[in-house]
Amino acid sequence: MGRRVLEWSLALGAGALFFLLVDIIFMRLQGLPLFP
Amino acid sequence: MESQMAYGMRHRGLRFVALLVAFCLLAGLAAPLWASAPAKPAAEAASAQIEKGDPAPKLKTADYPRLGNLSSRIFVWLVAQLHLFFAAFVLAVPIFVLVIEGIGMATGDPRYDRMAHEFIKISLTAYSFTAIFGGVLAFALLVFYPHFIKYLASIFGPMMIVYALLFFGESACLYVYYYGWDAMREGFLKWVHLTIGLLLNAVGTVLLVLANSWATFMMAPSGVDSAGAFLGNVWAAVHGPLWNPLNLHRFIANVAFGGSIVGAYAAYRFLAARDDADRAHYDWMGYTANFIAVSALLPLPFAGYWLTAEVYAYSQQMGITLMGGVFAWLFIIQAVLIGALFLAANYYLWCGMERSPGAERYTRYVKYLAFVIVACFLVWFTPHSLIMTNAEIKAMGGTHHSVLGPLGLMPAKNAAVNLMILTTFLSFLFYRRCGKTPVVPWIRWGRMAQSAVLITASVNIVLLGIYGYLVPANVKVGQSVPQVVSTLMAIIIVMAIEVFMYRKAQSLGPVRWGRMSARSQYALFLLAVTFTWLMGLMGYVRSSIRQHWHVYTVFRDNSPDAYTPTLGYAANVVSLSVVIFMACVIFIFWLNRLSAKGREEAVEDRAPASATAK
Repeated sequence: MGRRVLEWSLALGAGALFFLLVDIIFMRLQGLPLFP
Repeated sequence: MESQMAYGMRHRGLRFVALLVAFCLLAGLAAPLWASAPAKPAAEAASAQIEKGDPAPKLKTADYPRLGNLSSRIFVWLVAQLHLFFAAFVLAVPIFVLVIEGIGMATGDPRYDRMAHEFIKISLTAYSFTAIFGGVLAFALLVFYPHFIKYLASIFGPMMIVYALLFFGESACLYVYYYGWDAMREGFLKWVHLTIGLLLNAVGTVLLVLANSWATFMMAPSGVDSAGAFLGNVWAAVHGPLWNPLNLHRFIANVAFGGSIVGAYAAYRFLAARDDADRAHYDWMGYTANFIAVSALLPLPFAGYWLTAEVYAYSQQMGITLMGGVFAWLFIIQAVLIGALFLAANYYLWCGMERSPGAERYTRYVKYLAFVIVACFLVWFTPHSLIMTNAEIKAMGGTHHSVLGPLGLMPAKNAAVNLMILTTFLSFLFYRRCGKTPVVPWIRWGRMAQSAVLITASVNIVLLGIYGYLVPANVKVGQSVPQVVSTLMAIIIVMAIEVFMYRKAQSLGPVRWGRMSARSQYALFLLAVTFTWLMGLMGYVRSSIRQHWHVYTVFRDNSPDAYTPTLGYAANVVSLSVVIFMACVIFIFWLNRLSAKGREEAVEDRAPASATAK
């Protein structure tokens, strides 16, 4: 159980970081801040 | 020896033809480069040598000829719309026909070739309709709007000649491509045939972008001064600020529209099929057509968003007229129609699961997918403000509903459309998995990675949507880009994992083509009608945001029709054009079936005769 929670946390955490990076990059490319 | 020489000569001849075709193709593809490369020196030379053109004429009501009680606007509107419907169809079909033919050649499966041939056959009949409506439109413009067409020709005259010549090229390519299908079926000749198909598409695309430049010039004139006087550089007039967004939007929309119309043809033939082999063939054809239509539908909202952003960038007033003014309610109708498209396309995929053994593993998820799509659909078509009586406004506490009102703004709608696209992709993923079981040892990890990507992408899309309410407008508009990229990234990553995971997957049995309910075919009809209607309505909006201008801010429309009709009236005219188009399409389907029937009967007649001879 604990192992499954850890695996899912890692997978979702990696996904969240990846899409946060996507947000930052594609806002910067437009010359806009993500958090004004 | 003689035969060897003849063989050599024939191949030299073929090589020559192939080289000629390749040269023409390269020349055609390079044409925009010639046009763009010397643009600057040409502009300088033009300003030095060519005199400025005449300013746009200032017309009076009497300058617009009338024919009795016939409304010039309605007549030109209907004919132009019908011409566009058919033109979009005949330009789109060769694109995917070429791809299908190429797949058939690569896989060696003759079914692809048969399907591609059948697709192009439908477009051939439609080609005549395109030319007829195009001719009627040209005459109608000359008769009803002679000064306007003269002004347009004074700027785009050389382009109009090129357009006419390209139309000959398009016809020649199409006829050789269609009539040479059987003669160029094997070996090197197949390559020649594919090259002609490529040339047909190259010419068709150039025709499309040329015609687009006239429409975008009317919306956002360039290459002229503030009085409408031509400055001498035709490329500057062609390459206006809205040209490329419209090119992209129309190109993608044409493919989606073309796919939906051939899908309707496949559905018609499926329902009329008398044996299982035909039913299986047309079921597969319908599935392919739906796949094409949906694949093109998915990126379409983003191309539309770019076009709209450029409209706003060109003229904020025009942008507000488009989405915040009189035409805003047509976007609500658009939302309803797009929602219907997504529902119909998904419904067809869910019905298609019946074809594969093992589908029961995924059918239980359909209700959740349906829930997400319907929820997004409801957000997508929630209006920002409502037309209400005073009593209703009082009862609601204002013109905007406190809870549902915010859903009428773009951040919510962007999130909804991206989620709808992801859900449709998920439907396709389940459909694809139905008849297979993966055998790779990392299934659990693969599925976990796919789920994590889809969940985090969806959360990111929703959070950006919510965050859009808290930031300034320019940041809010900019946030639609990472939303779109999240959707596309999720689709690419999940699909890449899927392909590797299902490589060498264990098959649970062959796909039972033809085993589809009759009602699923009506989803294909719904797609075709909805696409057509949507094109007509949104085409009207695009054209009408010029309001009382022939050429926006440059050439004023002073005809008796220089007013914006009510939305109901406009919707009725568009609906009439859709009904006429559909009637023509049914005629084309019937004609194709008639010729196929004639051939089948001839084959049946020949079969007993040859048996008797033996």
